[in-house]
Amino acid sequence: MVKFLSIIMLSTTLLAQQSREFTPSALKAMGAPNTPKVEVAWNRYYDTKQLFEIMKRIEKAYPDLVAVKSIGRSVGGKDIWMMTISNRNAGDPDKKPAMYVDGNIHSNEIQGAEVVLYTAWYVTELFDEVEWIRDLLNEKTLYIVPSINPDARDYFIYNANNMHSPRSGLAKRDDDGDGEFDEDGYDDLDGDGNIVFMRIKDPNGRWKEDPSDTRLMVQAGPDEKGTYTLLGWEGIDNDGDGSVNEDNPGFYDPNRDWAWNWAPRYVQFGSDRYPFTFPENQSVRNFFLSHNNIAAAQSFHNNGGMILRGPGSKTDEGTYSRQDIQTYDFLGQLGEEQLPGYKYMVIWKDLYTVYGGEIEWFYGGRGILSFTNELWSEFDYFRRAKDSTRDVSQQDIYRFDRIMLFGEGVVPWKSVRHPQYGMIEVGGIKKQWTRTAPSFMIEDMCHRNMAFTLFHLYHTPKLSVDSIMVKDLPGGLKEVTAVISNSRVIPTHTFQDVKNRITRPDWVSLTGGKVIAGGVLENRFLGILKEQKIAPARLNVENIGGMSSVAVRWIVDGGSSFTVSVDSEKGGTAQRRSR
Amino acid sequence: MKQSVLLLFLLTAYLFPQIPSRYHSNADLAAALKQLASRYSSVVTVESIAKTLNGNDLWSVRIGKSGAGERKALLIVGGIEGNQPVGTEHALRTIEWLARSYGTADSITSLLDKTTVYVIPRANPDAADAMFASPVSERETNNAPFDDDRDAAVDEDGPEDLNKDGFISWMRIRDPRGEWIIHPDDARVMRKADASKGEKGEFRLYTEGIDNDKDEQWNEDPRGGTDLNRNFTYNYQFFARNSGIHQISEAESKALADFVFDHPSIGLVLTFSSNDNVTTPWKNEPPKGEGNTVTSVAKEDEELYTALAKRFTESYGLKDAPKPVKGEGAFSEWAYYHAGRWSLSVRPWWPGELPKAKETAAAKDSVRKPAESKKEEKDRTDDAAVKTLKWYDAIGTKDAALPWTKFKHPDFPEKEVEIGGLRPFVLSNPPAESLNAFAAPFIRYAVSVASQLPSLTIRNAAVKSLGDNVYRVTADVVNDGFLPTNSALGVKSRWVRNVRVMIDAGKSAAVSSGRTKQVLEPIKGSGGYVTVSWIVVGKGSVRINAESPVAGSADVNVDLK
Repeated sequence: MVKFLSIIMLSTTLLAQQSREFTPSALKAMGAPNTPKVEVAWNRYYDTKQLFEIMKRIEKAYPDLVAVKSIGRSVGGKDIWMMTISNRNAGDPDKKPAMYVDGNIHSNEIQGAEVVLYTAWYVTELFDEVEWIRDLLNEKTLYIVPSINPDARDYFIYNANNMHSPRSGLAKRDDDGDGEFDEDGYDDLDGDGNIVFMRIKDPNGRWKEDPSDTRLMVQAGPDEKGTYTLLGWEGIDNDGDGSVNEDNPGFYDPNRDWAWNWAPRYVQFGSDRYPFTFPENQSVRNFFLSHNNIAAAQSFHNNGGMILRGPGSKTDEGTYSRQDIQTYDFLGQLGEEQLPGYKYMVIWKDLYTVYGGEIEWFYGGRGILSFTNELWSEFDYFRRAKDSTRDVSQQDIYRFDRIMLFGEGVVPWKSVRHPQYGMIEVGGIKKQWTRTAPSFMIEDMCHRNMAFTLFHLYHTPKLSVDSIMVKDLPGGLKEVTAVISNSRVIPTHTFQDVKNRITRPDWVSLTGGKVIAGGVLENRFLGILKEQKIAPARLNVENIGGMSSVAVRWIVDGGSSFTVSVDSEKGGTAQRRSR
Repeated sequence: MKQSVLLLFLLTAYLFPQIPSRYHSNADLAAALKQLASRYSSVVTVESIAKTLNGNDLWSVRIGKSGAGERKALLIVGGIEGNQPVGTEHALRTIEWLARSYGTADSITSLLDKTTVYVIPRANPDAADAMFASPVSERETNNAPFDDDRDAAVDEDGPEDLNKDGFISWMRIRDPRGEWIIHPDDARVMRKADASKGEKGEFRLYTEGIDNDKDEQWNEDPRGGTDLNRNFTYNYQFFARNSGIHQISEAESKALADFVFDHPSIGLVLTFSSNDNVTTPWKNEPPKGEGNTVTSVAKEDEELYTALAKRFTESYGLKDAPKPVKGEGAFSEWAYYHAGRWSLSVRPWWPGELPKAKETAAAKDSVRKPAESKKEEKDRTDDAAVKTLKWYDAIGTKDAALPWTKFKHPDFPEKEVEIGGLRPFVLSNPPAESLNAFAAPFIRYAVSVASQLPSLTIRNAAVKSLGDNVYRVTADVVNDGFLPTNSALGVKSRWVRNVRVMIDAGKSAAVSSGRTKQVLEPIKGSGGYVTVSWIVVGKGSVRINAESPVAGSADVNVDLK
């Protein structure tokens, strides 16, 4: 019976595959399949549990390509789920050049998770159909973590918040130094699930309603009387200290918790005890320290339409060498093409100073090229052909709400009784947008950012032993010369890696004869050899640069056919046998 | 002279009747701590705050009246530098002294009734294991595996006791390509040839051992690890030798940091390490870093540090200290610059003057200062090894240096190889029989600084009637301690809480002005105060509480009338 059932299931699967190929349900648009094995709606957001269920469905549908595992636990005890995506039939994923991708380090910046999960979905669904993707997953590995902050993702989704809260994770902190922890957060006065603004009628106030949209508050002119005073985000003084909402859940910034250029709180707001104070970040740290095959990394935030690279601070400028900046520029400029409205920027110079950021540790501490994308750009509202992502005013956002969202995006002013202020009104923009995309733009955002990620992965090193030349020397010895090339843009060791000896050198080995001497050719054409006196059968090569090659030479006693192999932590392995 | 020194050491043994004058292995330390905890169970509790890779416990000891909640506290840390077991010995003797004196010496009793003393006697237990292993070797690191030479093999080339004398010492290979020569002032010591004086190298010098992995480097990838005193966040050096994979990367350093963060009552940290700011107090300097980075002691804290330091140099007569070592990721500097605590560090021993007789009550004036010490001062060279050996010579210790003896070394079959040189640990640690004699001044200093913590009281609480059931309540929140209620870095780092004042007007009255809870700016020591006031409407009485973990708590009730 069981056998019979499984035969039926097998044939159904075969049928399904065939129908996918030959009988499309309608014209298949370029891109996503019409009838994917795993149906996922890419016009909505998901909570932690739903993200996990989608991951498991993808894993179940594509067991040869996907493995889901937990890399650690959050403060609140939730698993941090990672998908390892690579064709296992074409080699051990942990031995291939790899890229790490995560989202949602900032709790309210949720859409990174959907972008990352879309990537997993797309590459698995299209593995059979698109050769470029098939080659990529044969040669490379993606380690993706949709959300590295599951506690606060769900807190953002299920608790009353505004679009900015919480940025922090949920470990309790005493923000106002009064010995109490998280005792004065926002209060949802009208119980509608939104934290919006409070205003009070005040003939001496300095604010008034905007004539073009009375839901929007604007400042009264310099010689004009206002009608309202704004009282900040919805909340009460819960602890009697004369301040409102001064000790919210958290507060610390999980993206100031990384070791490179870490600074204490008086230098960097949001840093905490020391690097990797929080278990979520410890999980990522541990994964990196045990996976030297990671040659690229990407983190997704919101918002502003940016492709950011380090350094995070001016003092760290010297860390970024010319060689590595060239590689960064190549990828960043490619990203600007793939992501209209996004700008390739340097964090400290073009945004603001950050000490102890995640991607700065990836590069500074581990020598791995890495970007942060700030998802959702203000350009996306009206796609005006201005050369600025900052061309959108509050009026524009309210107009977008009126003409595109039909008013769904704003809570209209309504009266509530405040225990301290008396009768006030609450109203304003809901948390679901302005930092995250509206439903109809999510898939576009996911796909374009995925394309950037996949090209970054594509350009991790690809090594081959191009040629082996054997020349007879007097006395029966042989001279064996081999050329090893890297046909992608990223080197096997960034300059930061070479300079600080972070990962081991690449090993180029010869078998098939007794090696008498050997070394790396500093000048292949003049034959200038830098001899490696100790153990020359396995040569240490400091780096194999992007789109370049290294030549090595041995003097060998005996043997007629030789095998040359290269073994690189970030570049994978390759070998060739001489004729 | 030699006799009188010995006499001094013997007489001081009485000071710590329960602690023999010897170095304690991890097992001995655990046993000693447990014994103290059981003998003095009303004031001593012992807890393990981490397990090391070697399986050792990282011990923390709490000394203070049992049953009392969290009170203002001093933390003493020993052995943060793995090759300074003497600091651990001082810390252990401090525990014994305080526990024994509680209930018998009034000053200690009243101190411990108000203050808690925490002691972490050995911050790097794995490094200490090397002192008691066979062979004995000196090590600064814990036991974390690390690929020092980046050959993808971990800890594959450590030292060996080739001549089987029980010590990992030094080996010198006669070779004109070497950089080393025999020290002109002391043939037992090697130093680098000074090319600017026309000196030519005659020896290569390595730690004792063979080239296990045949890479023509000797002992370049030994067991371990991370030097915990290079692993803290302040002035941390990425990729430096023994600094760890990143800041606070080790179970031990994390446990130490968390111990401080988890005890907001710790107002002052006293560390035994060479990052000395007691014999040479910190000086305020113009800021060097970017933004709000702090690179020297805050101006407003500077003179208090100087005052705290003076208590040591003036009262206890230990002079002639070597230059302090500027920390790179050092614990004691972290404790101030990043954790916001007052932080003092003193080198636990140096081959300077011998302890003065007044430090040893029983010895009284019978032991005089060694006559040679003045001359020694003049003869002093910069070379710590030469100076140290002179000191050992003066007290009659013969085995501080191991004689250079020939050894047939398999890696150098053609060359003359000798093994010898300084015995492990002699540079930074005194002979075991002198431990009790040397501990006393450090213990008295610890007691002295513990007594300087801030201390809150409320004075001049008053009620003035302003009319029908309306009152103005005022009070002075006073700090009677020496130190202010917070340091500049405590405020900046926000890890040390300022004084919080709360008023409870009860059910029949209400505070109509001011906040029911407020946090004050730091209050200066020696009677500094802040006046607080409220307008209260109603009747009955109000209760005012002022409190800070590092300064204690004070309450007052006043009637509304």
